[in-house]
Amino acid sequence: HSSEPWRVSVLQRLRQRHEDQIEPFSGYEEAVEGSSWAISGQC
Amino acid sequence: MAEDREILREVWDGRVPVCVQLASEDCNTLSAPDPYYLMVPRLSYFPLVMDKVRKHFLRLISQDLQEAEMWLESDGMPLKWHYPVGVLFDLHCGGASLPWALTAHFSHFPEQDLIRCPTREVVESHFMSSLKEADGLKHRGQIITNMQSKDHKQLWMGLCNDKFDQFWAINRKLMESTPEEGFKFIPFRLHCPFQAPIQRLIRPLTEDGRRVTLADLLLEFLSVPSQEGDRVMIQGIEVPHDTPLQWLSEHLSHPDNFLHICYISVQS
Repeated sequence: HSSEPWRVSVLQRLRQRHEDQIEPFSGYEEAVEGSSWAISGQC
Repeated sequence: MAEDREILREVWDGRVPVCVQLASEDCNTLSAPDPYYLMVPRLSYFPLVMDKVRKHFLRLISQDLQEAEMWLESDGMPLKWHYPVGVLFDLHCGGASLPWALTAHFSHFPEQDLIRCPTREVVESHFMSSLKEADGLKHRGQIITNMQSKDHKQLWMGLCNDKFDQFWAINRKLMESTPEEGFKFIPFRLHCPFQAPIQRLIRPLTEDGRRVTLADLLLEFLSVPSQEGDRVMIQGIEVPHDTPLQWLSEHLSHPDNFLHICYISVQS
């Protein structure tokens, strides 16, 4: 399925969703601590 | 299942930014308190992710409301906690204005609109019930019934703690099918604003072996033909209508194993 046009479109739109709805709010607190999404690191 | 981790991971990582304000009628302070800003997983349920908000506002409400159940409202509409966060977001906000503005209430619980959620165990019970219903549609319930209770707990804890690998190590069993047959039926719920969701039986393949698509589902179950400008959202995106339902069910379903489709008419 990896080259099916609908699959390519879905992945593009999911990435766009990330750019629009998540990246601009990267300073917000995570509701779930230690989530697998949050990037951990040291200052 | 043809596992497509790239898609599954993007879906899992979905978040919505929220700005929660305390209802003025519940506020016990002279000046309006600051709102609480939070990133909430799309795939979760509000009672699982609002502990911080509740604790924050408890300091600002009167003593007689300390034990009250907190409920949320978006633009005058009480939010049904038993729908996944992302579904509520797509139905009530759609990303038109971010962050999503919510109001937290501790009084005047809308008994007519919402069911109560006194504990997390109520959410767990609802979640497991949906999982069993979905597997009943896909595999006649054989996969979930044959799982051990520790597997059920791993699915639940994976969702609660936002652990992708923990959840999918078990959930992949619930997504098993053969390419020739697919699931017996596709578990889906078609949501329209201000209406009860539509849930019917639909198979992933036609009798002559053609893959049934999202377009087929909409044509069969929407009460009125869709118009230009209408939006069909799954996981916050407009999915191509020629996408096969079997693939959508395997990759864009919520953790309850239902494919939640939000249909927002231009007229609403």
